Amino acid sequence: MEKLLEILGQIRSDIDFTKETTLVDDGVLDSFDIVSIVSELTMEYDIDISIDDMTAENFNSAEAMHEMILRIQDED
Amino acid sequence: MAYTSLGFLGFLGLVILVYYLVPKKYQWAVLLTASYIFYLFSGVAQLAFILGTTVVTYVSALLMQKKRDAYKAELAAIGPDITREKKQELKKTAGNKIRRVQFASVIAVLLVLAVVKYLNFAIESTNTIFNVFNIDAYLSPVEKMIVPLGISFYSFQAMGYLIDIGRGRYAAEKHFGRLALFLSFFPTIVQGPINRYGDLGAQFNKEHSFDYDNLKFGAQLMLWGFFKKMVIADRAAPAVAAIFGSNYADYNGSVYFFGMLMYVLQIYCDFSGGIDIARGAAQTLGFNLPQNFERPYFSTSVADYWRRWHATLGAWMREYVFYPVMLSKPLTKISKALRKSGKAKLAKLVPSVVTPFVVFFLIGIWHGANWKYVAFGLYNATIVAGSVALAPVFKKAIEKLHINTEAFSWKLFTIVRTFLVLGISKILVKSPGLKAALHIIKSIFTEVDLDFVFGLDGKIFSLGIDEKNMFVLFVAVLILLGVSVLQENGMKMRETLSKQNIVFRWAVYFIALIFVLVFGIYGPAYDAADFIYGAY
Repeated sequence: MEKLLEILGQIRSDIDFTKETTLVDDGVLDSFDIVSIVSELTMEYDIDISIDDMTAENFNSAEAMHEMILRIQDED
Repeated sequence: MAYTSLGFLGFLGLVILVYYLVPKKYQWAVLLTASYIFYLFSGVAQLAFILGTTVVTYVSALLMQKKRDAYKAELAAIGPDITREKKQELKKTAGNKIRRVQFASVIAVLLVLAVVKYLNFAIESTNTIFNVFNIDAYLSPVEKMIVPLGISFYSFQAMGYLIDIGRGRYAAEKHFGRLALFLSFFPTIVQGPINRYGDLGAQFNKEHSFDYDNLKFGAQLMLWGFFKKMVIADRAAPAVAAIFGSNYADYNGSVYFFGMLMYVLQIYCDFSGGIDIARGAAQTLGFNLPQNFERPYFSTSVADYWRRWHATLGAWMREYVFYPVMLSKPLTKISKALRKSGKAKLAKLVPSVVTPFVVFFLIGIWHGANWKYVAFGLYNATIVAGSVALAPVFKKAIEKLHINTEAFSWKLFTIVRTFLVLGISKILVKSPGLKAALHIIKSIFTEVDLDFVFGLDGKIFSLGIDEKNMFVLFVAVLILLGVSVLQENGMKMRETLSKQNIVFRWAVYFIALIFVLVFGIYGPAYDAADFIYGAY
């Protein structure tokens, strides 16, 4: 989780990722941020994020992203 | 039947009456009947197209659902002892089967749309290529092509639905009538908003009781839409038609700039006004349609603008084009290869720069089959991709120049800058052709006619908006601007109004109604029937 927060912090330093829970729903993250996040997560965790994973629920909070990463790692 | 016609108001009134009187379990049937009657006004032959798309969409979605259910049943039959390999194998096989249906059905829907809208464009472009290369061949365009009402809108909704079902976002609709209603719902069929089944479908499944607030708020939103469309857009229209018409060469840069302002105003009020009428009409029936416009001319960047302008198309593109392209194998491979060779920054940049070009190319040709729309798309893509790529440079420059980006003056600067950049892009769309557009844009930057700018020659009133109409337009724009500023600051106009005292409230309703009735543009001289986006 710490590693994830660090990655997210590098992409958008102006957001407190420990608190936000509606990052996508409230438009805090735009689609370019999502592109950067997906690109970083893919490399850092060596996972393949598929289009099926691209839901608002999976990116609404750091916690949700963390769960998604664990799930993808588990499925691989 | 135009949304601004008395006929439509009568039609809507009748639908509302029947809709709330019939037993609630038949409400969907009332809406479906009403939607198909509304559609029939555009022609009988057109009905075949929407019905065809509906049947393909319905059957394909059910087929995908069947395959997904079979996969789940198989998993359940094996139970928790399933090996990881077996699970992955089953998932892969099911996924492939579903994807095949998804691909075929989306292509089928897309093909109809492409043939109807782009066949002649493709034929003419091929002829141009023949010409350039001196090939002695000629393809004749199809002369009487039927373009069904709202084909872009219902096709996009159908494709979105099919992709969602393929991705397993929600279960396929088993009720043919409800799916048919989703694709033909009369408030949305002419020009959107583009709905997703997950949002609108659920509302069709609900029973709707009569609610005075819905009726009141819906009617108010419609009135606001009539104001934008009939008082502003249709009043600015003659000047736009004159300046960007076939005689465009008669004018100079300053007139073009005025024309640009009028067009920017017209297109926003025409399209967003139409959407207000659509959303308002839907609300009178108890439906909540998504916002399509959030004061786009207050955008501080082009990317911001595309989140506020025709937002449902933007969302559609993001979901079904932007992310899939970004996650596509070729792009992922390029990024990975770049990273391995130590070019991490470039690796990050590639998807953010390539994807906008794909998305905006599609948004461009979505607007119409003409090279000027392609240019419009590429122009937007270049700016969006460029601002992502150059973001670090801008950041450094802002730091070096000690610019306070929190200050109002900076915000105003970014709004004006974005507005002008967008104004130019709209000239690309409105000009008679690409060549004319380039001439017009060049003139704006090179020719200043001070007599025109200061109104000394009175020419401004000879362009289709006389002095009286210019005054009405000015007042109307001030009202629009005032309301927009309040909304931008978070005020919900209709709710705020409903909390006021009865006398004030009804005075506002009455004045607004009279204003639209008196100053709305009617009559055969102005074809108020035509919504610009109705043709897209």
